Amino acid sequence: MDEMNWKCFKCGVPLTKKAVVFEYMNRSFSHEVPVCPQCGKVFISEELAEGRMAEVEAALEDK
Amino acid sequence: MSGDFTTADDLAAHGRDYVKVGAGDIQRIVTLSTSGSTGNGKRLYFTAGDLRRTIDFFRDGMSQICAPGDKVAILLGSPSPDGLGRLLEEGLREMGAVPSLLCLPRDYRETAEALESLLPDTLVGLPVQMRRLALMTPRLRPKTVLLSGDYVSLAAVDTITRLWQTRVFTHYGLTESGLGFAVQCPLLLGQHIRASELQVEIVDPDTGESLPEGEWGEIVFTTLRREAMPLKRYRTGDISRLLPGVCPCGQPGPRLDRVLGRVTEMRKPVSIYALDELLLRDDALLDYEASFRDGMLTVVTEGGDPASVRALLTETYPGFAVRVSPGVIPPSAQKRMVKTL
Repeated sequence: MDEMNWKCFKCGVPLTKKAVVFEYMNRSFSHEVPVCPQCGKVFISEELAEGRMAEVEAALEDK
Repeated sequence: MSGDFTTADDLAAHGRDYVKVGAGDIQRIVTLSTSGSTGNGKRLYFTAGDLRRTIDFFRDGMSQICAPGDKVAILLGSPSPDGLGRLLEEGLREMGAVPSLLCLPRDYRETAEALESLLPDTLVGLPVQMRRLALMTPRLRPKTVLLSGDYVSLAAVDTITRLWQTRVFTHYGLTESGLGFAVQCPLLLGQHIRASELQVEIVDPDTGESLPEGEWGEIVFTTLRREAMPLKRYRTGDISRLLPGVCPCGQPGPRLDRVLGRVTEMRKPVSIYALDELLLRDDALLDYEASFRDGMLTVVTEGGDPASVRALLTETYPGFAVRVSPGVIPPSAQKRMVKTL
């Protein structure tokens, strides 16, 4: 899936890749994801959610 | 797994199916790596209400072990939000004690020094680690020690009791049970179960058949008030028995005897439980690791005399080849076991 073909439905503009900071359990990590340059909404692909994000969650979710 | 039991493999494979609340109601998730057949992690989910009930149990349980104003060193867990360390810290604060969340030791010398400055009234930690600290700082003399998180050997209890002139309590619990499960009363007879939260059965680990009070078998529990992830007849893999009758301490409710260990470990030709009881009687031996393969038992000891340890093991296990060598055993968060394969 080519993330660069995505457009923001609300704003009608193509999404651009930006480094976004994610925060979870008092820790943060940064990842480049497609973002609407106008309204700022971030797109999380299924691949990202089930891949890198799931890995980071598992690492942080210790007892 | 057949029947109406829930197993670790069920949670690893279908964990999300057990979640009964929306994502917004989940306050904390714990990921546990399984040493079971699937090799995948299990995720356990908790609402704020679930965590509150865990804190309540910790507060009530600890108020039998320490008093308001007492300094309590927590040598378990991490600073992770809403994790074991933080929840226990909160429970202790609520009963008026003064907790110090030192977390699981990373370096024994460093931890011993921190304890020598703090001079806690109570310590909470892993059995082998607390024993090692007792051997390193015999003058610490806390009033009470609570051992939890792994098999509690009689040898470790005896050593800690003797060196620190202290009273040692045990607690059995698992993340799946909401961390708390059963804790010894002031008379140190049996472990009182959190009966308002957990219904406990003992079953035959091979057939799943229910066993009566007094018979040893696998601990199975059903949660009664869990919100995020209620569990029905969850098979813990741990062996114990329900003690019959009323406890002389006066508290009503069901009690567990000592937890003898995990079924999977007990089925090995030599278990860590047997080795703990045998080797941890030697005050010179700080810690050890063991592995077993093809009839050969290999042990690494820190402290103690490898030749006499080897002689003791050869005498106890005449059918095995035994190799003992000295080494350094750093602190570990993992459950101790004899490595096979």
